[in-house]
Amino acid sequence: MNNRFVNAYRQAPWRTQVKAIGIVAAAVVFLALIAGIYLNVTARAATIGRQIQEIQSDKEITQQRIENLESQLARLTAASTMRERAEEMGFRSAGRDEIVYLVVPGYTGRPLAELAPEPGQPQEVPVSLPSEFTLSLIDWARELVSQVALQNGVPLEAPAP
Amino acid sequence: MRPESNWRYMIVGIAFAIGGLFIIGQTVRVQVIPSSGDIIEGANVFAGHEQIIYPVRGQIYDRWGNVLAANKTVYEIGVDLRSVQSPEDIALVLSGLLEDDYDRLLALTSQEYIERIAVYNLLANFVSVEDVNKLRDMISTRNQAEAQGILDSGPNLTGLLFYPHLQRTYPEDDLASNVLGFVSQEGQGYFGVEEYYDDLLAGTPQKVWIPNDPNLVEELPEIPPGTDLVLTIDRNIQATVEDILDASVEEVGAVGGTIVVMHPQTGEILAMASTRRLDLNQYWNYAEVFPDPQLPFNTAVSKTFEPGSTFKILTMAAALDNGDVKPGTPFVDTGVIEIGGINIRNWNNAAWGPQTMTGCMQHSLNVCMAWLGQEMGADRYYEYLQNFGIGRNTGVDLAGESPGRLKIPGDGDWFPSELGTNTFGQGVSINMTQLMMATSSIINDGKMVTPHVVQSIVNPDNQYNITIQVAGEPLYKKTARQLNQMLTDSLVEEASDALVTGYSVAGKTGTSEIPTEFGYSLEQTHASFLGWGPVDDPQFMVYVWIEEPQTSPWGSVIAAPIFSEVVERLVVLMDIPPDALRASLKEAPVEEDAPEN
Repeated sequence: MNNRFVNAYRQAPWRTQVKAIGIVAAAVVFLALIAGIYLNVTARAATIGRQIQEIQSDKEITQQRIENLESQLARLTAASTMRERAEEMGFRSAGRDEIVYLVVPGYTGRPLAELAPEPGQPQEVPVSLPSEFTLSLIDWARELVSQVALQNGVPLEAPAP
Repeated sequence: MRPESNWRYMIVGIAFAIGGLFIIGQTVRVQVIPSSGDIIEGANVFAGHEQIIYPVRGQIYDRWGNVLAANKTVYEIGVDLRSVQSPEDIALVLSGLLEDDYDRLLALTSQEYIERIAVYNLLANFVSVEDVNKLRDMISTRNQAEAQGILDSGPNLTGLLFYPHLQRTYPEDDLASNVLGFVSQEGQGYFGVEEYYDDLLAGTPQKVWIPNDPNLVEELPEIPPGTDLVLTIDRNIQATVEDILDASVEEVGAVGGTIVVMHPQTGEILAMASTRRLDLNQYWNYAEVFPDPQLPFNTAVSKTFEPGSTFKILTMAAALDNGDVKPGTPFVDTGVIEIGGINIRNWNNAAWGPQTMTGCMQHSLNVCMAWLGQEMGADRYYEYLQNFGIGRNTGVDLAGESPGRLKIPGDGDWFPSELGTNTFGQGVSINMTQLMMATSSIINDGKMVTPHVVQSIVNPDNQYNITIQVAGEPLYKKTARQLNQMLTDSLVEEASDALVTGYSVAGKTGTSEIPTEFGYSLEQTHASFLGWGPVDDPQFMVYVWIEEPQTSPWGSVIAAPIFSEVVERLVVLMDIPPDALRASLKEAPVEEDAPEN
């Protein structure tokens, strides 16, 4: 009698197998999904890493090219070269008694080389990143709301009583 | 599960367990065994490599921003031994192109590839871009021909590798070479500014780890480039002074010469020219330009010599300042004076009779100077000389400064007669910048300024300008002004060749006999002139020093005209109007237009 009840409520073997297979398959799919995501992220990281290496190499080569071009320019404008070019164009050095001096109001003389600002002087801020990359999410949202509010003429704070 | 299958599962389980234990055991083993370091090191070989990143060496500019020292791209050429197909072709092409030894190149290119031992051979370094482009063209031509099926279309350079890097270059070649110095292929600065500021120019190299695993790649740290330097040197003045010096030395048949131009109110060196100059792009010719190791790279700071009569400026300054004499104090020159047991005579052995102190300077009387030393006394006189910085380095920012020698009472080799000889510049050795620094006190109301060649130090963010460094105040303001006027008057009264029409200049000639081991050489001298102008607002101080001229031994004949020639060009290059025009402008200053509202 008992066996009958057991057999009556017992799941068919094929159902058990299907269920087991389903669980295993789900686990495999889940693992495959995780592996796929991991692989994807790893591949992208590797690609970007490779790009970083290439960009760094490009940067180095560009730096060298800049230095090279600067030295070429310096050679083209060297004192001896400029003098030769001036002489070819028919110029010559002015003598002491050939100079006519003019008074130019406000002229304080030729400025010395200034390659960078002196300490303490305000410096030009280079092109900055968009705020999305520099602010936290909350700050960014707050700034966005204030901009929209300002555009619509809504005061951000309640006026003083 | 059937019971009879259990043993199979048991075996599989045990096998996995043993495998797992083996892996764990091996993991532990490779970390604790003595050769674990080698294993880790071996793994690191494949993990990546350590690289030292050298900052780009800072550039050097003249005071207006013209480049005097920069960097250019050059290449290291090597061979990947595994890829080489024709060692003979590579050796032949490179030996022709780079004028290198064929057998040496062939030995390097023919070496057998051995993994991790013989992989790469360096063939040449510091190869120019032009030469590398020729090689690349050959490779490209052959590749294109092979792609079209054409065989044997030129040398087979497969396996050649090119690595670019930077090398120091000097666009002006030998201009101001004595000031600049040079950088060796190893990146070490030698002489001049390159040596003195080597640490700043070179920057700080950093060691970084470059992983082979792209997942581990990180951005390389930002390595700041070397500091740029802006010099006080004016390129045009330097070039002009070098031209004048070269022509003058040739004209008078001298061994060599040096001219230094300094702004006497700030100590800025505007030009520093010597006849021995090295093309800095070919610094390996150093031994040809300086065959004698005793020859200094920069005569103005490293060569010490007895200054002769230009030193009388300091003697007179000391005597005036000490209150022993005034410009009009009379002195009867008998042509000889005895000090410390020796007789001191004038340059022409003559007696010049009644003189004033201005006359003593005008006629450059040794007897008068020795008398002044005697009046002051040795202690007071040498105290003044020490206050002038004689015998000590000036602190000029150039490598290799030599302080010379000032013997003082108490030194074992000082004799009382030296008080007499020192007063007219014998028995004391100085370098040129020392005398210029000391003399700057006459121009700056008693204050000496330290000579310097760097005007600004520039890093990527800021430019730091060097301010005037006062080196001391050896004279009263009144003394400085008196002596300035005396030296102006003495040139005018002497109708010196140093004078320049329209501009007031002051100065003193110098003729110094050359000390040898047998005494002073009477046949060979150094002729010199130290002067400045315009006297009311000095903008330049010029020290001309000519070594062993043949046409005349005298500074008044040799050096004074060179001074005048230099000043003729300086007033043009420095935009200095004639005295009369400047005076008229001072009397009637131009009012600036009021800004419009």
